[in-house]
Amino acid sequence: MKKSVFILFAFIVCLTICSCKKTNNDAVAYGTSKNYSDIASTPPSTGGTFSFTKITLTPNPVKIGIASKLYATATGNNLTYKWTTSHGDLFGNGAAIYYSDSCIGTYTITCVVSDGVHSATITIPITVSN
Amino acid sequence: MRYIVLLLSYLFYSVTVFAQCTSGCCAPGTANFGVLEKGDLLLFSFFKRDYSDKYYSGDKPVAFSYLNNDFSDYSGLSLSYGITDKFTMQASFGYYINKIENFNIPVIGQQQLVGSGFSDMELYAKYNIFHSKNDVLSLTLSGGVKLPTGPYKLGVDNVELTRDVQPGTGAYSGMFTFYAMLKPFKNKKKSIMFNSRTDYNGVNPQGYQYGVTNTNTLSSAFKLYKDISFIAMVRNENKDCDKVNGVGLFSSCSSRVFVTPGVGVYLGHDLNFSIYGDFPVYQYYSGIQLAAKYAFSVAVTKVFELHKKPLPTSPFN
Repeated sequence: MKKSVFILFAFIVCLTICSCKKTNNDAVAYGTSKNYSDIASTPPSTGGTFSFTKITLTPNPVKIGIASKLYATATGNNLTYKWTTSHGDLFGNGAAIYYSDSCIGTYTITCVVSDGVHSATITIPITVSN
Repeated sequence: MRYIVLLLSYLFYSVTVFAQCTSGCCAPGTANFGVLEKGDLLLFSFFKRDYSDKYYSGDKPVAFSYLNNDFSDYSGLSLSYGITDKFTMQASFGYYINKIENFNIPVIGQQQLVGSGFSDMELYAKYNIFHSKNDVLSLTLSGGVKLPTGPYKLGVDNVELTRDVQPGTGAYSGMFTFYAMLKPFKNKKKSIMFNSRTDYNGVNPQGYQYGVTNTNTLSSAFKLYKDISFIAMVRNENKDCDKVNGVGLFSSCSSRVFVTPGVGVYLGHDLNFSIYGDFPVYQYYSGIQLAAKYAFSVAVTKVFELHKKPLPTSPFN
């Protein structure tokens, strides 16, 4: 019985050692576990002292496998930008990020801009095509 | 009967891990022996690595540059308890040590997205509906639910990570399994197992729904030397297309066949160690999808006899 428990314990230790992450040194890494946070649910749009007028996507429509640049046009102080999409891959952070997808379809991208007091949300449809 | 439980407790390899224009879905589950004896507690602990680096269209590889590769490391734990000789309850948990996608995209170059965390939890009830008096045939049905306990909208710097590297699905799911064990030979030491599992996945709060998946596995084990056995499995996976807000995602359906050779070592005291490879022999994908390349896993299985019974002997003795 002791031997069994020891082997089980050793196996669990091995699993823990395996948890050391491998990273690609040539790549820009997003999402290391220490930076994780749940994306907040979308707050209601409000007016006020700042403005969030539009999201631009260039090129539009998105070509499959090619990155398009997203830019949120907003004014105000200490703005934060939260980006989500119904499908696809987002890279970067802040007002300007990149979107790409390897899957043809029509999806949405949502950006929530906030200055800590006010917030506004814009959702745009996107089409990914050949 | 218990040595079969130990040898053929195996990973279900539920249609592998990546989802987005790759025909993946959910965390690997288990599909071990149908029911346990009353009072037995089965602990099944495993580690699994999945790797993919090639795109397919139909059943042929295609040149398409987007993801250089993706892989995941997953450790899981499954606990089963025999409430009666016919009825077993099972709970499965797991943790993605990492889910990594390495991209090479025109304009922005090489990028990497990394996720980790607990996956969804599975609960099963298994009931043995038939067991022949001569021990030749045993049939078990089971049903279960998958609870969305894992995070599914992780982000970094306020940007949501891609669905493929999220550890959870965010959706409730139902699973139904049929399990048959046949012992065709007189000495009853060789068993052939058939397992068919169907997963009906719900819609998550983001409007994403993984397609219905059906997996059929045929497996057996053969003695190599003393307490070392060769485990042979053939598995067929069929997956319907995913949906985004009710609209089908064409490049997410697939049909695949895998062979899963393994070696199991019985260590005594109802403890077994196994190592498996997992290799696709046929893959068909709608549209263009990242195909499976290989997976391997190591597993430790231990039965705790909570009701006193005669001591088991080595398998195949």
